[in-house]
Amino acid sequence: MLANLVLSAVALLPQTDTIVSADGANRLDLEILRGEVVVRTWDRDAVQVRADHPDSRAIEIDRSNRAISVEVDARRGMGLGAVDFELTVPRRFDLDIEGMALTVDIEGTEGEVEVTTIHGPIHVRGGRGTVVLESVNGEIVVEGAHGSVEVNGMAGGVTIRDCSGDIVAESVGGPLTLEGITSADVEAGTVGGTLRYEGSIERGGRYTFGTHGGEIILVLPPGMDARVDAMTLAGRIDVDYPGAPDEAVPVEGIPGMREMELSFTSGQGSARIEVETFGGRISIRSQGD
Amino acid sequence: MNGHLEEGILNDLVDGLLSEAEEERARAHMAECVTCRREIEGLQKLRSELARMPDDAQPARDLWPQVAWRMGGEADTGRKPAAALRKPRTQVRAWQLVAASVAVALFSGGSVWLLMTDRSSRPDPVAEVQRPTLAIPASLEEAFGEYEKTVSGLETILEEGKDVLDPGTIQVLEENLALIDNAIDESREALNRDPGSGVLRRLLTENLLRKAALLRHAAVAVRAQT
Repeated sequence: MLANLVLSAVALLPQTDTIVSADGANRLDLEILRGEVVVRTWDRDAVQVRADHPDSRAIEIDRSNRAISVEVDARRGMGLGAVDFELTVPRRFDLDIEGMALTVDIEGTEGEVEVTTIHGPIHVRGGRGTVVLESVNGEIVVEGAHGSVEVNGMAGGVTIRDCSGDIVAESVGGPLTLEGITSADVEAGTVGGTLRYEGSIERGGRYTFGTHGGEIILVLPPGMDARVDAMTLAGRIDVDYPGAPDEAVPVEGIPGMREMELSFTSGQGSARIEVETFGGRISIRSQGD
Repeated sequence: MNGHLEEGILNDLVDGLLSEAEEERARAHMAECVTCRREIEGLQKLRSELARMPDDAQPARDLWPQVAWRMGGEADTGRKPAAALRKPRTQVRAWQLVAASVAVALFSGGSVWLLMTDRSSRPDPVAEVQRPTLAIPASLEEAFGEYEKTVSGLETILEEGKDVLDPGTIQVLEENLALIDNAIDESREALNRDPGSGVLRRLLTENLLRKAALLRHAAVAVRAQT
């Protein structure tokens, strides 16, 4: 049984450059502590692993079930130094990359992508299905993903560009920028960072934006079919959109705290756009203005 | 109440207790009011999450059955409170919902607790940290006490493992934790001024969970390196 699950295991050192047949696998798992990871795609049904690890550590490549897993054997050598990888995978492959201090650059994948690191930037161009990216201390950029995008950045900023599909994004202490977005479901929030959204508003869609101590800038398509509800506690709302009221109205709310609301409908109002800040400014304007 | 639906109306709407006319009025208001709409969505989400909680997460505290019944439905308690539903009840207070939301998120995410209950046999520096209990405390301070207990376990891991993390990452973590703490303080203070505010309740809950999530990331990093 075990033999079926673990079809091959290769231990290589100190420099690695090998090609492993995909042979039915559809996912690559990479787990390392630190290093630079570059992933590219090709049309071959195989995975190429190049690794630069100038010490006695080994790279283990296992294939089990439908996944090829690559990891640094920490039992050999120190196990804590950096190992740089260049991986080339079939375009359709899903990717699951996890580490502590990684610089990750992925391009051309048409599979699902999940990257988690504590320290270091993540840059993904491509991705289909589910794309999940998380870094505590590093910039995250995802471009051209189609499907469900979930990004969680704690510092360094998050940029989601030219993506389509459901989006959930959050950043703490850094800007969150969504531009060229085509989506009917967006949920984005920051603490202490500026949130900017420029993208489509689909009929019947749902868009939620929130910040605590940050600014929200929405650049919305003219002639959208949506209702906008904006609210700020101890902040302000500026709007410049056809049909929108000139000013937000104060509402009786929390004692000692100024609460402002602004609502307007464009078209039939089938989509919902909800915007909230605590102590921040909301700016809503039309694309092209 | 500030031009919004009263909390009791919202709760009864979730419970399906309003008359046809009352429900129609409430829904008409919600169609125009994002605050109340999000409030009701939050209650519905909380109710549905509570209904999915594992049996061993159900507390035995006296106050809990009432709250669980109101938010989690009869499936949680095994009783069919059709008659009881019609009785007047104690209002569920804002802090109870905050506490319940945080507890549900900590449990349903699972990761915080899993982190604290080491899956390996290695000695765990926070093994003594108790699994968070999904109890609805008897006071606001107790509610935050439960949360703080969970968070302090994670902080212990971070503190003890600071030397294994990148100094830049430590600095970012500390800066961001300070940001979130500030946000928690602000939303908590505002909620104290207006305990009925659904917006503030949600903000506070989100910020509490952000802090737990950030600490969890840090703790995982420390664990991995030690």
